[in-house]
Amino acid sequence: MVRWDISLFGSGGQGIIRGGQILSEAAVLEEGKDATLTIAYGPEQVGGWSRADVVISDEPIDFPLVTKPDVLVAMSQEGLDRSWKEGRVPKKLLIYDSELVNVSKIGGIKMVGLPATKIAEQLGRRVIANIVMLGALSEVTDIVRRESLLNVIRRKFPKALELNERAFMEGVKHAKEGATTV
Amino acid sequence: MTEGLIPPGKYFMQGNVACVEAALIAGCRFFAGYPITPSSEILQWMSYRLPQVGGHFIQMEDEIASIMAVLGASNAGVKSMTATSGPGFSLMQEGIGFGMMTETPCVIVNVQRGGPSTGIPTLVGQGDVMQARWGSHGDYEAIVYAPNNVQEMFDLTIKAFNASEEYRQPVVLLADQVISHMYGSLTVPPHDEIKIVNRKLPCVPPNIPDFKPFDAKYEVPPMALAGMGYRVHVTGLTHDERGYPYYTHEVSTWCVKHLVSKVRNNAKKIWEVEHFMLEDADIVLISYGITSRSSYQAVKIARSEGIKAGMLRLITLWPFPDEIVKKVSEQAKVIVVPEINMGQIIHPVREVAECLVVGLSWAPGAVPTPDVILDTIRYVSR
Repeated sequence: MVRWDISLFGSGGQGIIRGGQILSEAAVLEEGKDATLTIAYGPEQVGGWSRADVVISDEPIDFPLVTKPDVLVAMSQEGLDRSWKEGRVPKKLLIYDSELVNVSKIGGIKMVGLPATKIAEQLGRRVIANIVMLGALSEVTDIVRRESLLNVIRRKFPKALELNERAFMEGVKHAKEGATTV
Repeated sequence: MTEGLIPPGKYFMQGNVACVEAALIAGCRFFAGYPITPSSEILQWMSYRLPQVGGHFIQMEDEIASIMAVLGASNAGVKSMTATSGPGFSLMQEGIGFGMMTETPCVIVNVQRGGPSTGIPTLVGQGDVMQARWGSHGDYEAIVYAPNNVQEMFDLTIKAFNASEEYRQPVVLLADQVISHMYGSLTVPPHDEIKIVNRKLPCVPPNIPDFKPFDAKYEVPPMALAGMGYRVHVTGLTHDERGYPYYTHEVSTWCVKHLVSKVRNNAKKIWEVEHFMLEDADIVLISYGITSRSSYQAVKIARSEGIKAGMLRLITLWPFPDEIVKKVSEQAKVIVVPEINMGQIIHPVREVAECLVVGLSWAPGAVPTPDVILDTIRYVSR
Protein backbone atom coordinates (compact mmCIF):
# COMPACT_ATOMS: atom_id res chain seq x y z
CA MET A 1 0.00 0.00 0.00
CA VAL A 2 1.32 3.43 -0.93
CA ARG A 3 -0.02 6.19 1.26
CA TRP A 4 0.89 9.85 0.92
CA ASP A 5 0.14 12.41 3.61
CA ILE A 6 0.38 15.93 2.19
CA SER A 7 -0.14 19.19 4.00
CA LEU A 8 -0.68 22.48 2.18
CA PHE A 9 -0.20 25.34 4.61
CA GLY A 10 -0.52 29.06 3.95
CA SER A 11 -2.89 31.98 4.43
CA GLY A 12 -6.56 32.49 3.69
CA GLY A 13 -6.93 33.79 0.12
CA GLN A 14 -3.98 31.85 -1.29
CA GLY A 15 -6.15 29.03 -2.58
CA ILE A 16 -4.77 26.50 -0.12
CA ILE A 17 -8.02 24.56 0.21
CA ARG A 18 -8.73 24.74 -3.51
CA GLY A 19 -5.22 23.35 -4.08
CA GLY A 20 -6.02 20.46 -1.75
CA GLN A 21 -9.28 19.81 -3.61
CA ILE A 22 -7.54 19.68 -6.99
CA LEU A 23 -4.90 17.29 -5.68
CA SER A 24 -7.49 14.97 -4.07
CA GLU A 25 -9.82 15.01 -7.06
CA ALA A 26 -6.93 14.12 -9.35
CA ALA A 27 -6.35 11.02 -7.22
CA VAL A 28 -10.01 9.99 -6.88
CA LEU A 29 -11.63 11.01 -10.15
CA GLU A 30 -8.69 10.64 -12.54
CA GLU A 31 -6.75 7.73 -11.07
CA GLY A 32 -9.33 5.75 -9.11
CA LYS A 33 -7.40 6.05 -5.87
CA ASP A 34 -8.85 6.88 -2.48
CA ALA A 35 -8.31 10.33 -0.99
CA THR A 36 -9.48 12.38 1.95
CA LEU A 37 -9.25 16.11 2.44
CA THR A 38 -9.57 17.78 5.81
CA ILE A 39 -9.24 21.49 6.32
CA ALA A 40 -8.34 23.75 9.19
CA TYR A 41 -8.11 27.48 9.43
CA GLY A 42 -7.76 30.36 11.85
CA PRO A 43 -10.68 32.59 12.84
CA GLU A 44 -9.88 35.30 10.26
CA GLN A 45 -11.56 35.14 6.85
CA VAL A 46 -8.60 36.42 4.81
CA GLY A 47 -4.98 36.56 5.91
CA GLY A 48 -5.31 34.07 8.76
CA TRP A 49 -3.66 30.68 8.56
CA SER A 50 -5.22 28.04 6.36
CA ARG A 51 -4.31 24.37 5.99
CA ALA A 52 -5.44 21.58 3.69
CA ASP A 53 -4.47 18.03 4.68
CA VAL A 54 -4.69 15.47 1.92
CA VAL A 55 -4.29 11.71 2.23
CA ILE A 56 -3.92 9.75 -1.01
CA SER A 57 -3.71 5.99 -1.14
CA ASP A 58 -4.09 3.23 -3.70
CA GLU A 59 -6.16 1.32 -1.13
CA PRO A 60 -9.12 2.49 0.98
CA ILE A 61 -7.87 4.92 3.62
CA ASP A 62 -8.20 3.85 7.24
CA PHE A 63 -7.19 6.91 9.26
CA PRO A 64 -8.13 10.00 7.22
CA LEU A 65 -6.21 12.66 9.15
CA VAL A 66 -2.64 13.89 8.66
CA THR A 67 -0.62 13.85 11.86
CA LYS A 68 2.83 13.98 10.25
CA PRO A 69 2.96 14.82 6.55
CA ASP A 70 5.28 13.23 4.02
CA VAL A 71 5.19 16.44 2.04
CA LEU A 72 4.61 19.97 3.32
CA VAL A 73 3.81 22.76 0.87
CA ALA A 74 4.45 25.98 2.80
CA MET A 75 3.09 29.15 1.24
CA SER A 76 3.52 31.45 4.25
CA GLN A 77 6.00 31.88 7.08
CA GLU A 78 3.25 31.12 9.57
CA GLY A 79 2.50 27.92 7.71
CA LEU A 80 6.07 26.77 8.12
CA ASP A 81 6.44 27.96 11.71
CA ARG A 82 3.17 26.41 12.86
CA SER A 83 4.03 23.09 11.24
CA TRP A 84 7.33 22.91 13.09
CA LYS A 85 5.84 24.14 16.36
CA GLU A 86 3.06 21.52 16.20
CA GLY A 87 5.48 18.71 15.38
CA ARG A 88 4.14 18.39 11.85
CA VAL A 89 7.61 18.35 10.30
CA PRO A 90 7.53 16.75 6.83
CA LYS A 91 9.14 13.33 6.60
CA LYS A 92 10.20 13.51 2.96
CA LEU A 93 9.94 16.89 1.35
CA LEU A 94 9.34 20.60 1.91
CA ILE A 95 8.14 22.73 -0.99
CA TYR A 96 8.02 26.45 -0.15
CA ASP A 97 7.42 29.85 -1.63
CA SER A 98 10.98 31.19 -1.66
CA GLU A 99 9.87 34.84 -1.56
CA LEU A 100 7.53 34.42 1.40
CA VAL A 101 9.10 31.70 3.53
CA ASN A 102 12.49 31.84 5.21
CA VAL A 103 13.95 28.36 5.52
CA SER A 104 17.39 29.34 6.78
CA LYS A 105 16.83 27.53 10.07
CA ILE A 106 15.53 24.34 8.45
CA GLY A 107 17.78 21.42 7.66
CA GLY A 108 17.96 17.70 7.23
CA ILE A 109 15.23 17.29 4.64
CA LYS A 110 14.84 17.68 0.91
CA MET A 111 13.63 21.17 0.06
CA VAL A 112 12.34 22.76 -3.11
CA GLY A 113 11.88 26.52 -3.19
CA LEU A 114 10.22 28.55 -5.90
CA PRO A 115 8.72 32.06 -5.95
CA ALA A 116 5.20 30.81 -6.67
CA THR A 117 3.40 33.99 -5.68
CA LYS A 118 5.77 36.18 -7.67
CA ILE A 119 5.38 33.92 -10.71
CA ALA A 120 1.60 34.15 -10.36
CA GLU A 121 1.79 37.95 -10.13
CA GLN A 122 3.90 38.07 -13.26
CA LEU A 123 1.28 36.02 -15.04
CA GLY A 124 -1.23 38.65 -13.93
CA ARG A 125 -3.17 36.79 -11.21
CA ARG A 126 -1.76 36.45 -7.70
CA VAL A 127 -4.48 33.91 -6.82
CA ILE A 128 -3.05 31.23 -9.09
CA ALA A 129 0.05 30.74 -6.95
CA ASN A 130 -1.58 27.51 -5.73
CA ILE A 131 -1.61 26.20 -9.30
CA VAL A 132 2.08 27.06 -9.66
CA MET A 133 2.73 25.04 -6.50
CA LEU A 134 0.76 22.05 -7.82
CA GLY A 135 2.94 22.15 -10.94
CA ALA A 136 6.04 22.06 -8.73
CA LEU A 137 4.57 19.20 -6.69
CA SER A 138 3.98 17.20 -9.87
CA GLU A 139 7.61 17.67 -10.88
CA VAL A 140 9.25 16.54 -7.66
CA THR A 141 6.83 13.79 -6.52
CA ASP A 142 4.88 11.00 -8.20
CA ILE A 143 1.84 11.23 -5.90
CA VAL A 144 -0.48 11.72 -8.89
CA ARG A 145 0.24 12.02 -12.60
CA ARG A 146 0.76 15.47 -14.07
CA GLU A 147 -1.98 14.88 -16.62
CA SER A 148 -4.43 14.01 -13.84
CA LEU A 149 -3.85 17.35 -12.13
CA LEU A 150 -4.13 19.20 -15.43
CA ASN A 151 -7.40 17.42 -16.25
CA VAL A 152 -8.94 18.54 -12.95
CA ILE A 153 -7.66 22.09 -13.43
CA ARG A 154 -9.12 22.21 -16.96
CA ARG A 155 -12.46 21.00 -15.66
CA LYS A 156 -12.53 23.45 -12.77
CA PHE A 157 -11.39 26.57 -14.64
CA PRO A 158 -12.69 26.34 -18.20
CA LYS A 159 -12.75 30.14 -18.56
CA ALA A 160 -9.12 30.65 -17.49
CA LEU A 161 -7.73 27.50 -19.01
CA GLU A 162 -4.65 28.86 -20.71
CA LEU A 163 -3.61 30.99 -17.75
CA ASN A 164 -3.88 28.09 -15.33
CA GLU A 165 -2.00 25.74 -17.62
CA ARG A 166 0.77 28.30 -17.95
CA ALA A 167 0.93 28.78 -14.19
CA PHE A 168 1.12 25.03 -13.72
CA MET A 169 3.95 24.62 -16.25
CA GLU A 170 5.87 27.54 -14.71
CA GLY A 171 5.74 25.60 -11.45
CA VAL A 172 7.10 22.53 -13.20
CA LYS A 173 9.93 24.53 -14.73
CA HIS A 174 10.99 26.26 -11.53
CA ALA A 175 10.86 23.05 -9.51
CA LYS A 176 13.29 21.49 -11.98
CA GLU A 177 15.71 24.31 -11.32
CA GLY A 178 15.02 24.94 -7.65
CA ALA A 179 15.55 21.58 -5.97
CA THR A 180 18.01 21.85 -3.12
CA THR A 181 18.82 18.98 -0.82
CA VAL A 182 20.24 20.04 2.53
CA MET B 1 -38.74 12.31 -10.07
CA THR B 2 -35.03 12.33 -10.79
CA GLU B 3 -35.01 15.85 -12.21
CA GLY B 4 -32.64 18.09 -10.32
CA LEU B 5 -31.12 15.22 -8.33
CA ILE B 6 -27.41 14.49 -8.36
CA PRO B 7 -26.67 12.21 -11.34
CA PRO B 8 -25.19 8.76 -10.72
CA GLY B 9 -21.39 8.69 -10.85
CA LYS B 10 -18.20 9.15 -8.92
CA TYR B 11 -17.66 12.30 -6.88
CA PHE B 12 -15.23 13.85 -4.43
CA MET B 13 -17.43 15.62 -1.95
CA GLN B 14 -17.79 16.97 1.57
CA GLY B 15 -19.68 14.72 4.00
CA ASN B 16 -22.32 17.34 4.77
CA VAL B 17 -22.97 17.95 1.08
CA ALA B 18 -23.27 14.19 0.45
CA CYS B 19 -25.88 14.08 3.22
CA VAL B 20 -27.97 16.76 1.45
CA GLU B 21 -27.79 15.06 -1.95
CA ALA B 22 -28.84 11.76 -0.37
CA ALA B 23 -31.76 13.39 1.44
CA LEU B 24 -33.05 14.80 -1.85
CA ILE B 25 -32.81 11.36 -3.49
CA ALA B 26 -34.64 9.87 -0.48
CA GLY B 27 -37.46 12.30 -1.23
CA CYS B 28 -36.83 15.05 1.33
CA ARG B 29 -38.60 18.19 0.17
CA PHE B 30 -38.64 20.27 3.36
CA PHE B 31 -35.87 21.49 5.62
CA ALA B 32 -36.17 23.80 8.59
CA GLY B 33 -33.10 24.59 10.61
CA TYR B 34 -30.90 27.03 12.43
CA PRO B 35 -27.22 27.21 11.45
CA ILE B 36 -24.68 25.76 13.84
CA THR B 37 -21.11 24.59 13.33
CA PRO B 38 -20.22 21.90 12.28
CA SER B 39 -23.56 21.16 10.58
CA SER B 40 -24.11 24.50 8.80
CA GLU B 41 -23.10 23.28 5.33
CA ILE B 42 -26.17 21.01 5.38
CA LEU B 43 -28.47 23.97 5.96
CA GLN B 44 -26.60 26.13 3.47
CA TRP B 45 -26.62 23.51 0.72
CA MET B 46 -30.28 22.65 1.40
CA SER B 47 -31.22 26.33 0.99
CA TYR B 48 -29.65 26.22 -2.47
CA ARG B 49 -30.78 22.76 -3.58
CA LEU B 50 -34.32 22.40 -2.26
CA PRO B 51 -35.85 25.12 -4.47
CA GLN B 52 -34.23 23.40 -7.48
CA VAL B 53 -36.20 20.20 -6.83
CA GLY B 54 -39.48 21.86 -5.90
CA GLY B 55 -38.92 21.70 -2.16
CA HIS B 56 -39.06 24.28 0.59
CA PHE B 57 -36.43 25.62 2.96
CA ILE B 58 -36.98 27.76 6.03
CA GLN B 59 -34.34 29.19 8.33
CA MET B 60 -36.10 29.25 11.70
CA GLU B 61 -35.55 31.43 14.75
CA ASP B 62 -34.10 28.54 16.74
CA GLU B 63 -33.85 24.77 16.95
CA ILE B 64 -37.09 24.30 18.88
CA ALA B 65 -39.02 25.96 16.06
CA SER B 66 -36.96 24.01 13.51
CA ILE B 67 -37.92 20.56 14.77
CA MET B 68 -41.57 21.59 15.20
CA ALA B 69 -41.73 22.92 11.62
CA VAL B 70 -40.23 19.64 10.43
CA LEU B 71 -42.87 17.64 12.33
CA GLY B 72 -45.61 19.85 10.93
CA ALA B 73 -44.41 19.40 7.35
CA SER B 74 -44.18 15.66 7.84
CA ASN B 75 -47.75 15.52 9.12
CA ALA B 76 -48.73 17.22 5.87
CA GLY B 77 -47.05 14.36 4.02
CA VAL B 78 -43.69 15.84 3.05
CA LYS B 79 -40.48 14.02 3.91
CA SER B 80 -38.65 16.46 6.17
CA MET B 81 -35.30 16.95 7.80
CA THR B 82 -33.27 19.22 10.03
CA ALA B 83 -29.59 19.35 10.94
CA THR B 84 -27.84 20.64 14.01
CA SER B 85 -25.07 20.03 16.55
CA GLY B 86 -25.06 19.34 20.29
CA PRO B 87 -26.49 22.63 21.62
CA GLY B 88 -29.26 22.59 19.01
CA PHE B 89 -29.89 18.88 19.57
CA SER B 90 -30.48 19.66 23.25
CA LEU B 91 -33.07 22.27 22.31
CA MET B 92 -34.77 19.84 19.94
CA GLN B 93 -35.35 17.15 22.56
CA GLU B 94 -38.89 18.23 23.40
CA GLY B 95 -39.84 18.17 19.72
CA ILE B 96 -38.18 14.79 19.22
CA GLY B 97 -40.32 13.37 22.04
CA PHE B 98 -43.40 14.89 20.42
CA GLY B 99 -42.40 13.25 17.13
CA MET B 100 -42.01 9.90 18.89
CA MET B 101 -45.40 10.15 20.61
CA THR B 102 -47.24 11.33 17.49
CA GLU B 103 -45.37 8.81 15.30
CA THR B 104 -44.16 11.44 12.87
CA PRO B 105 -41.41 10.41 10.46
CA CYS B 106 -38.46 12.79 10.04
CA VAL B 107 -34.68 12.81 10.02
CA ILE B 108 -32.48 14.76 12.41
CA VAL B 109 -28.79 15.05 11.59
CA ASN B 110 -26.66 15.74 14.64
CA VAL B 111 -23.07 16.55 13.70
CA GLN B 112 -21.37 16.06 17.04
CA ARG B 113 -18.85 18.58 18.30
CA GLY B 114 -17.10 18.89 21.65
CA GLY B 115 -19.39 19.43 24.64
CA PRO B 116 -20.95 19.83 27.15
CA SER B 117 -22.83 23.09 26.49
CA THR B 118 -21.31 25.30 23.79
CA GLY B 119 -18.12 23.24 24.15
CA ILE B 120 -15.71 23.33 21.23
CA PRO B 121 -17.77 24.44 18.23
CA THR B 122 -15.29 23.55 15.49
CA LEU B 123 -13.79 20.35 16.89
CA VAL B 124 -14.89 16.76 17.13
CA GLY B 125 -16.85 14.95 19.84
CA GLN B 126 -18.95 11.79 20.32
CA GLY B 127 -20.66 12.88 23.49
CA ASP B 128 -24.29 12.77 22.27
CA VAL B 129 -24.61 8.99 22.01
CA MET B 130 -26.76 8.56 25.11
CA GLN B 131 -28.69 11.75 24.41
CA ALA B 132 -29.60 10.37 20.99
CA ARG B 133 -31.09 7.35 22.75
CA TRP B 134 -32.96 8.91 25.63
CA GLY B 135 -32.56 12.68 25.33
CA SER B 136 -36.28 13.34 25.52
CA HIS B 137 -38.34 12.30 28.51
CA GLY B 138 -40.45 9.17 28.62
CA ASP B 139 -40.03 5.82 26.92
CA TYR B 140 -39.27 5.47 23.25
CA GLU B 141 -36.89 3.38 21.20
CA ALA B 142 -34.53 5.52 19.14
CA ILE B 143 -33.12 4.59 15.74
CA VAL B 144 -29.64 6.09 15.33
CA TYR B 145 -27.01 5.57 12.62
CA ALA B 146 -23.31 6.52 12.90
CA PRO B 147 -21.51 7.10 9.56
CA ASN B 148 -17.72 6.74 9.31
CA ASN B 149 -17.03 8.10 5.82
CA VAL B 150 -18.50 10.34 3.12
CA GLN B 151 -20.12 7.38 1.36
CA GLU B 152 -21.99 6.53 4.55
CA MET B 153 -23.05 10.15 5.04
CA PHE B 154 -24.88 9.49 1.77
CA ASP B 155 -26.02 5.88 2.25
CA LEU B 156 -27.11 6.22 5.88
CA THR B 157 -29.04 9.43 5.22
CA ILE B 158 -31.18 7.44 2.79
CA LYS B 159 -31.47 4.59 5.31
CA ALA B 160 -32.45 7.08 8.02
CA PHE B 161 -35.29 8.37 5.84
CA ASN B 162 -36.35 4.83 4.99
CA ALA B 163 -36.39 3.76 8.65
CA SER B 164 -38.29 6.90 9.66
CA GLU B 165 -40.95 6.19 7.02
CA GLU B 166 -41.10 2.48 7.80
CA TYR B 167 -41.42 2.85 11.57
CA ARG B 168 -43.11 6.27 11.61
CA GLN B 169 -40.75 8.05 13.96
CA PRO B 170 -37.86 10.55 14.05
CA VAL B 171 -34.54 8.92 13.14
CA VAL B 172 -31.13 10.40 13.97
CA LEU B 173 -28.04 10.43 11.76
CA LEU B 174 -25.34 10.84 14.42
CA ALA B 175 -22.33 12.16 12.53
CA ASP B 176 -19.29 13.96 13.92
CA GLN B 177 -17.30 17.03 12.94
CA VAL B 178 -14.54 15.16 11.11
CA ILE B 179 -16.79 12.90 9.03
CA SER B 180 -19.08 15.82 8.15
CA HIS B 181 -16.38 18.30 7.22
CA MET B 182 -14.13 15.79 5.51
CA TYR B 183 -14.09 15.51 1.73
CA GLY B 184 -13.94 11.97 0.40
CA SER B 185 -14.93 9.79 -2.49
CA LEU B 186 -18.60 9.11 -3.13
CA THR B 187 -20.29 6.83 -5.61
CA VAL B 188 -23.89 7.72 -6.40
CA PRO B 189 -25.57 4.58 -7.75
CA PRO B 190 -28.23 4.65 -10.49
CA HIS B 191 -31.30 6.11 -8.82
CA ASP B 192 -33.52 3.16 -9.67
CA GLU B 193 -31.15 0.90 -7.71
CA ILE B 194 -31.60 2.94 -4.52
CA LYS B 195 -34.23 1.54 -2.19
CA ILE B 196 -36.69 4.23 -1.14
CA VAL B 197 -39.38 3.56 1.48
CA ASN B 198 -42.51 5.69 1.69
CA ARG B 199 -44.93 5.72 4.61
CA LYS B 200 -48.10 3.71 4.24
CA LEU B 201 -51.30 5.70 3.86
CA PRO B 202 -54.75 4.58 5.06
CA CYS B 203 -56.46 2.20 2.67
CA VAL B 204 -59.96 3.14 3.84
CA PRO B 205 -61.80 6.26 2.64
CA PRO B 206 -61.70 9.33 4.92
CA ASN B 207 -65.41 9.37 5.64
CA ILE B 208 -65.84 5.95 7.26
CA PRO B 209 -67.23 6.08 10.79
CA ASP B 210 -64.94 5.02 13.67
CA PHE B 211 -61.74 5.58 11.67
CA LYS B 212 -58.81 4.82 13.96
CA PRO B 213 -55.60 6.63 12.93
CA PHE B 214 -53.57 4.61 15.45
CA ASP B 215 -55.37 1.32 14.87
CA ALA B 216 -53.88 -1.34 17.17
CA LYS B 217 -54.15 -4.03 14.51
CA TYR B 218 -51.11 -2.52 12.79
CA GLU B 219 -47.55 -2.75 14.09
CA VAL B 220 -46.97 0.59 12.37
CA PRO B 221 -50.28 2.29 11.60
CA PRO B 222 -50.78 3.87 8.15
CA MET B 223 -50.47 7.64 8.45
CA ALA B 224 -53.52 9.81 7.83
CA LEU B 225 -52.09 13.10 6.60
CA ALA B 226 -53.41 16.56 7.26
CA GLY B 227 -55.56 17.62 4.35
CA MET B 228 -56.62 14.15 3.22
CA GLY B 229 -59.98 14.52 4.90
CA TYR B 230 -59.52 12.12 7.81
CA ARG B 231 -60.49 13.31 11.26
CA VAL B 232 -57.13 13.04 13.00
CA HIS B 233 -56.18 14.19 16.45
CA VAL B 234 -52.41 14.57 16.80
CA THR B 235 -51.35 14.96 20.42
CA GLY B 236 -48.35 14.48 22.65
CA LEU B 237 -50.70 13.25 25.37
CA THR B 238 -51.06 9.53 25.95
CA HIS B 239 -53.75 8.56 23.45
CA ASP B 240 -55.88 5.66 22.34
CA GLU B 241 -56.30 4.21 18.87
CA ARG B 242 -58.46 7.17 17.86
CA GLY B 243 -55.64 9.53 18.84
CA TYR B 244 -57.69 11.02 21.67
CA PRO B 245 -56.08 11.71 25.06
CA TYR B 246 -56.93 8.91 27.47
CA TYR B 247 -55.41 8.77 30.91
CA THR B 248 -55.53 5.21 32.15
CA HIS B 249 -52.81 2.74 32.85
CA GLU B 250 -54.42 0.37 30.37
CA VAL B 251 -54.25 2.83 27.47
CA SER B 252 -50.77 3.93 28.54
CA THR B 253 -49.65 0.29 28.53
CA TRP B 254 -50.85 -0.11 24.95
CA CYS B 255 -49.54 3.27 23.78
CA VAL B 256 -46.03 3.08 25.24
CA LYS B 257 -45.53 -0.61 24.47
CA HIS B 258 -46.63 0.06 20.91
CA LEU B 259 -44.01 2.83 20.56
CA VAL B 260 -41.10 0.70 21.74
CA SER B 261 -42.27 -2.64 20.27
CA LYS B 262 -42.40 -1.47 16.69
CA VAL B 263 -38.63 -0.91 16.89
CA ARG B 264 -37.69 -3.72 19.30
CA ASN B 265 -39.55 -6.35 17.27
CA ASN B 266 -37.70 -5.26 14.14
CA ALA B 267 -34.30 -4.54 15.72
CA LYS B 268 -32.55 -7.28 13.77
CA LYS B 269 -33.68 -5.71 10.52
CA ILE B 270 -32.37 -2.32 11.65
CA TRP B 271 -29.01 -3.49 13.02
CA GLU B 272 -26.03 -2.85 10.82
CA VAL B 273 -22.49 -3.66 11.87
CA GLU B 274 -19.15 -4.26 10.18
CA HIS B 275 -16.99 -7.24 11.18
CA PHE B 276 -13.33 -6.35 10.72
CA MET B 277 -10.69 -9.07 11.25
CA LEU B 278 -12.87 -10.68 13.91
CA GLU B 279 -12.60 -14.35 12.87
CA ASP B 280 -10.01 -15.35 15.47
CA ALA B 281 -9.79 -12.09 17.43
CA ASP B 282 -9.36 -12.26 21.17
CA ILE B 283 -8.99 -8.50 21.58
CA VAL B 284 -12.01 -6.79 20.08
CA LEU B 285 -12.49 -3.06 19.58
CA ILE B 286 -16.07 -1.87 19.54
CA SER B 287 -15.97 1.37 17.62
CA TYR B 288 -18.15 3.76 15.63
CA GLY B 289 -17.94 7.01 13.66
CA ILE B 290 -14.59 8.71 13.21
CA THR B 291 -13.00 6.68 16.02
CA SER B 292 -13.47 3.52 13.96
CA ARG B 293 -11.19 4.97 11.30
CA SER B 294 -8.34 4.97 13.84
CA SER B 295 -9.38 1.51 14.98
CA TYR B 296 -8.94 -0.06 11.52
CA GLN B 297 -5.33 1.01 11.45
CA ALA B 298 -4.66 0.10 15.09
CA VAL B 299 -6.01 -3.42 14.43
CA LYS B 300 -3.82 -3.84 11.33
CA ILE B 301 -0.66 -2.76 13.17
CA ALA B 302 -1.53 -4.98 16.15
CA ARG B 303 -1.97 -7.93 13.75
CA SER B 304 1.47 -7.21 12.28
CA GLU B 305 2.85 -7.51 15.82
CA GLY B 306 1.17 -10.88 16.27
CA ILE B 307 -1.70 -9.65 18.43
CA LYS B 308 -5.04 -11.18 17.46
CA ALA B 309 -7.03 -7.96 17.33
CA GLY B 310 -10.27 -7.17 15.50
CA MET B 311 -13.07 -4.66 15.42
CA LEU B 312 -16.83 -4.73 15.55
CA ARG B 313 -17.99 -1.44 14.05
CA LEU B 314 -21.41 -0.27 15.06
CA ILE B 315 -23.23 1.38 12.16
CA THR B 316 -26.54 1.22 14.02
CA LEU B 317 -25.97 2.57 17.53
CA TRP B 318 -29.62 2.33 18.57
CA PRO B 319 -31.43 0.02 18.85
CA PHE B 320 -28.26 -1.43 20.34
CA PRO B 321 -27.17 -4.62 18.51
CA ASP B 322 -26.92 -6.51 21.80
CA GLU B 323 -27.07 -10.06 20.42
CA ILE B 324 -24.25 -9.35 17.99
CA VAL B 325 -22.08 -7.81 20.71
CA LYS B 326 -22.81 -10.73 23.02
CA LYS B 327 -21.81 -13.24 20.36
CA VAL B 328 -18.55 -11.42 19.63
CA SER B 329 -17.78 -11.23 23.36
CA GLU B 330 -18.13 -15.01 23.75
CA GLN B 331 -14.93 -15.63 21.79
CA ALA B 332 -13.07 -12.49 22.95
CA LYS B 333 -10.79 -12.16 25.95
CA VAL B 334 -11.07 -8.38 26.19
CA ILE B 335 -13.31 -5.80 24.55
CA VAL B 336 -11.92 -2.26 24.23
CA VAL B 337 -14.35 0.59 23.60
CA PRO B 338 -12.64 3.73 22.30
CA GLU B 339 -14.96 6.73 22.07
CA ILE B 340 -14.62 10.52 22.14
CA ASN B 341 -16.53 10.85 25.39
CA MET B 342 -16.08 9.75 28.96
CA GLY B 343 -17.74 6.38 28.39
CA GLN B 344 -21.20 6.04 26.79
CA ILE B 345 -21.67 3.09 24.40
CA ILE B 346 -19.48 1.11 26.81
CA HIS B 347 -22.52 0.78 29.12
CA PRO B 348 -24.77 -1.33 26.88
CA VAL B 349 -21.64 -3.26 25.85
CA ARG B 350 -20.98 -4.12 29.50
CA GLU B 351 -24.62 -5.05 29.92
CA VAL B 352 -24.29 -8.00 27.54
CA ALA B 353 -20.57 -8.79 27.26
CA GLU B 354 -19.31 -12.14 28.52
CA CYS B 355 -15.72 -10.88 28.82
CA LEU B 356 -13.74 -8.03 30.35
CA VAL B 357 -14.71 -4.62 28.88
CA VAL B 358 -12.20 -1.76 28.97
CA GLY B 359 -13.02 1.84 28.04
CA LEU B 360 -10.74 4.21 26.18
CA SER B 361 -12.31 7.52 27.10
CA TRP B 362 -10.98 10.38 25.03
CA ALA B 363 -11.90 13.98 25.68
CA PRO B 364 -13.44 15.94 22.79
CA GLY B 365 -11.35 18.24 20.60
CA ALA B 366 -9.28 15.62 18.78
CA VAL B 367 -9.57 12.13 17.37
CA PRO B 368 -7.66 9.41 19.23
CA THR B 369 -4.95 8.47 16.72
CA PRO B 370 -4.26 4.84 15.77
CA ASP B 371 -1.20 4.98 18.08
CA VAL B 372 -3.36 5.79 21.10
CA ILE B 373 -5.69 2.86 20.44
CA LEU B 374 -2.75 0.59 19.62
CA ASP B 375 -1.16 1.36 23.00
CA THR B 376 -4.34 0.19 24.71
CA ILE B 377 -4.47 -2.98 22.58
CA ARG B 378 -0.85 -3.73 23.48
CA TYR B 379 -1.54 -3.10 27.16
CA VAL B 380 -4.56 -5.41 27.41
CA SER B 381 -2.86 -8.11 25.34
CA ARG B 382 -0.18 -8.63 27.98
